Amino acid sequence: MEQKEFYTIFTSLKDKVFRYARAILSDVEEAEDVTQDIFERLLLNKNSVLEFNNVESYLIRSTKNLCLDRVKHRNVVLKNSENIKNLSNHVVEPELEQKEMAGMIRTIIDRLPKKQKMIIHLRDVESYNFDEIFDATGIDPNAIRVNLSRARKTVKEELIKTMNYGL
Amino acid sequence: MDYREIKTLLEKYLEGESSIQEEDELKRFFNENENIPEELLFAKKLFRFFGDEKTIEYTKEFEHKKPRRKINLYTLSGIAATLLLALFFVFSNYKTKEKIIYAYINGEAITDINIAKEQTKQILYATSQKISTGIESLNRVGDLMNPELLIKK
Repeated sequence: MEQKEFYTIFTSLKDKVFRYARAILSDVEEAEDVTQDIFERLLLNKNSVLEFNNVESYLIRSTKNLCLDRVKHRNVVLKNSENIKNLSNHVVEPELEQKEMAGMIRTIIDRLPKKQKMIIHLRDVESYNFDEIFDATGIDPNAIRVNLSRARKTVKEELIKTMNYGL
Repeated sequence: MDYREIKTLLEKYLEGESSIQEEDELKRFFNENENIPEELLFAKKLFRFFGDEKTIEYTKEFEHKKPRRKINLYTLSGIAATLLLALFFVFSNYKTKEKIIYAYINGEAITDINIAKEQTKQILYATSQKISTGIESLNRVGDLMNPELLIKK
């Protein structure tokens, strides 16, 4: 892969990778870190990646795996910490205090199960069709539809609750 | 598009059965219309959110952090290995070249093992001769054990 080719891919896909990482991790700094990591890996494995006819789905898949690794690690760190209660209070409270709508919706989506979170992001933010979601997640189209429907319904209910509470 | 159609589309959306095209229509509708009935306000907020999310960009430049670190590691381990090898040779050379001092004779260090052996033999021989001459007078100690002999003398 030429340097130029790499930067073309970086420029066209960096935002998607970053948004996806951010959706899974709900942490901007960590998502930036993952984005950097993903493209470093692309540069290192450039030849094997070129064999994929779809670099985008390869990158989105790698992003998912890397993020889930980090989430796992994070859980271990949390479990090992004595201040689990304090930490979780710190994470949740400032987000609830943010009366900004985006913050609230992000929190609602963040609380969804992993699969639903990934699918609703890929579909409703990135407008992926079911085949593309399948390529990126390995989840079969019927399960995608079920998970997507559950995610959307939960977000709707929670959002209405939050809005009523706010009024 | 009237609200009945929109509601039907929303139902499809919630079931996960709407097409991307239909979802685009929903997004457009809610973004363009300000006066949305309260029961559909959530959809306006939601589609607005999705639209905003898609505009988020990764603003950092790509840095060749890790590859450089990797090269450094390779280089470092290379240097370390070379050093170790060099040290090994220097040390083993030093060991073989280093002369073992077997003895000092008249303040002179003897490093040749054959000369040392020869010298040692000579010293041992000289000492044993001295010892064997001295031993003769010790024979008389045995006489002390025989009172008869003592008396005779």
